[in-house]
Amino acid sequence: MAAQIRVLRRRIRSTQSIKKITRAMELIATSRIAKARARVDEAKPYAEQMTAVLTELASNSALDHPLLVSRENPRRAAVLVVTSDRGQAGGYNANVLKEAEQLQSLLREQGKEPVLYVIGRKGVQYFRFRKRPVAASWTGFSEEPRYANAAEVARTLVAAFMAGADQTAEVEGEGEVEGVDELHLVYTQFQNMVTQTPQARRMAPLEVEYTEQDEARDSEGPRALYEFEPDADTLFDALLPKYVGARLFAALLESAASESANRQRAMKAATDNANELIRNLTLEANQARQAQITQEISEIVGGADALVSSGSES
Amino acid sequence: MAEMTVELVAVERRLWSGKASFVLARTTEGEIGILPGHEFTLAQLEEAGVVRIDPIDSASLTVAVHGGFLSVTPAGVSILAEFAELAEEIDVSRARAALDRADTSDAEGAAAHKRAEVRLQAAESASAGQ
Repeated sequence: MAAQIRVLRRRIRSTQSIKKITRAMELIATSRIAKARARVDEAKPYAEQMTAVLTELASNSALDHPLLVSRENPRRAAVLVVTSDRGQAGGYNANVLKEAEQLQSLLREQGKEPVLYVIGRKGVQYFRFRKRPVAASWTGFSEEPRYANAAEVARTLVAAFMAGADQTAEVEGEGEVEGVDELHLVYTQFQNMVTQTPQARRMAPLEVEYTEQDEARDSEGPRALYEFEPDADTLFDALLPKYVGARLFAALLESAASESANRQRAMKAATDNANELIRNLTLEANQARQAQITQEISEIVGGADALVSSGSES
Repeated sequence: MAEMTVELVAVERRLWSGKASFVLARTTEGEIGILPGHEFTLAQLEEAGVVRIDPIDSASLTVAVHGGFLSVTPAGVSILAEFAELAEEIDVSRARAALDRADTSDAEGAAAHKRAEVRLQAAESASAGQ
């Protein structure tokens, strides 16, 4: 009986310390969501300006840049999966990996061979456990991505894309990468605090989002004549890889915000469960203690009775 | 005095926006100075370069800009940069250390060397102007 109480008390204590940890993680995640969302907003002006500039350029340049044109027979397609470095984020990684698997089987149906690129330690672990080859991986920045990280990934992917299937490309610091015909990105879109959905997007060939004021301006008369330094085509060539980098960076920021939101929810659920467990265990421990006291009393009374009855005989 | 709207945005944040009377930058083709009423222009800036903005209501700003573009429209001037640092934000001793550390033998080291050089240049020209 005493042993049972001791076991219960020990379980209560350990649950309490687990609760402290999950509660702390919940608070950290909450503050990270706010920070990550602020960074998503801060990155917006650049994206807007970039789109405006590309819109202007597109009307002045022959749109035959390799990044814009679909290949005739695409055979290899790169799939970049954005996962987190740490776990304890609920279904975050499972969802994004499931989306990635769906995209890969879709690509296979279309006769393209998917080539995996992975961001985040959890994704690397997932594919390594299943012994699936990963062309390249980057880890260590899933919660707070910097533009330098996105630029590095974009450089490798754009180099692989520009090379095309059956070719290899030299990338600084990465060695040789095998060429691909398409670039796809799987990341988690941050819609709001409660909804984050995994998304698969094609990054190349690019679909540049043009602003929708062109027609209105065309009807107003001749378009403004721009002066380009250097010429429009060279500028376009220089801008497009940066556009890919900026889009990728935006996706990384949204994934970071989603990761924190998922972690916050998971840790809140864990804290709630710990509270419930502690309540139940405390009840059980009290009952056991009560039972022990009752038993002790009845033993004492029984013992006293026995003494009294044996004393009366003598 | 004539004025124009200038926006300086880096990928990670908006650095500065406001009214200015003059912008000086260096493109891949050469130096360009922009006054209000400049014609439509799109230009690629030097991979690492210094941009000067003269706001109408304060002392001129010097910025180290890496991988930037410049667009001029009647609505204003916008400078897009992969990385940008205002001169007063630049840590001179760190930039100097980066300059010494950079190994100019390979392409990456040479780029790092150039970046550090530009940051120092921006910091120096800002302190000289005050």
